[in-house]
Amino acid sequence: MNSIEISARTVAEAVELALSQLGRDRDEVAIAVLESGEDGEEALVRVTVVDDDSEGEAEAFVADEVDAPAVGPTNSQDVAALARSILEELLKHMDIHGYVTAVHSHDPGLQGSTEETITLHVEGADEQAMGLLIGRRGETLASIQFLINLMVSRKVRKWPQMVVDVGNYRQRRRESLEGLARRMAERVRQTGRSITLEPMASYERRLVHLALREDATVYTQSTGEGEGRKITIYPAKS
Amino acid sequence: MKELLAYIAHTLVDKPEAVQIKERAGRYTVTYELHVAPEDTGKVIGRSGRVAKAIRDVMSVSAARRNKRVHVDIKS
Repeated sequence: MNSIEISARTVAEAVELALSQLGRDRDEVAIAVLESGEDGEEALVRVTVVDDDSEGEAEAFVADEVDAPAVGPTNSQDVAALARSILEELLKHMDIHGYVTAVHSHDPGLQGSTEETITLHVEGADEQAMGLLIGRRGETLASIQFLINLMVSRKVRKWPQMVVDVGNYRQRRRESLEGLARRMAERVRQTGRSITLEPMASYERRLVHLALREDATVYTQSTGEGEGRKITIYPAKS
Repeated sequence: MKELLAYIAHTLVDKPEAVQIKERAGRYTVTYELHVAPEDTGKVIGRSGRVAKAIRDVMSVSAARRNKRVHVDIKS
């Protein structure tokens, strides 16, 4: 048996279970998260063995991503393992016990290309420590992610985008921003007056713009510079 | 904490042998002086200090775990 699908309460638990069933180490497998297990739903992962004596399986796993030839001695598996070990090293020095799972995903990008992303999921029992890793408005998380990308780029010539997430913070934050966007849009619609939101990072502003893009009754615009850049929601001109 | 700074600095610079870290421990605050080769200064500061900010953020987590505050000064 070289590939199994396991569900459990969290991604980390499912991976642990899968590894013990396969009798493999994390370095010997490719992990794909099929369901990330938000909102009380079960997480579902597919764990595939990719060691030397199962070349065929390894190739089957990467078959859909071989369009871009690997540059240098590394492939995505190696880069994911490298990124995970760097993050684990950082956590260790921060005195934080966390379990890091690297997950590959391919999202459709612009002009029909695929965007490869490695997401490093951090899960840990210590809520306070996880909160520290996220920081105010996710600023520390953004810094950790920035450092990981930078440190990996020092070791390999080509690497996919790397996202660091702690306890599904990014997912939860996206949902809360989308909710905020819709509630504020409703208020703009009712009062006919524009509302300016507090300053946000670029990727968070993007989420708000996207959430209201389909809404014909309002339009959004960003103003201000750098750290202070913020979104204003306007009633649609009639 | 010092090992964390050393690990990050060594990974980012071209001349890890030139990395030196001085530590001054106060009652609530620990101050680190990070020395790197002059040509490596940009690598640990980054455009608009982006790398320096990331290093300080990560160091702050480590300090918070020890109920301390931390300052990181970058020298060349």
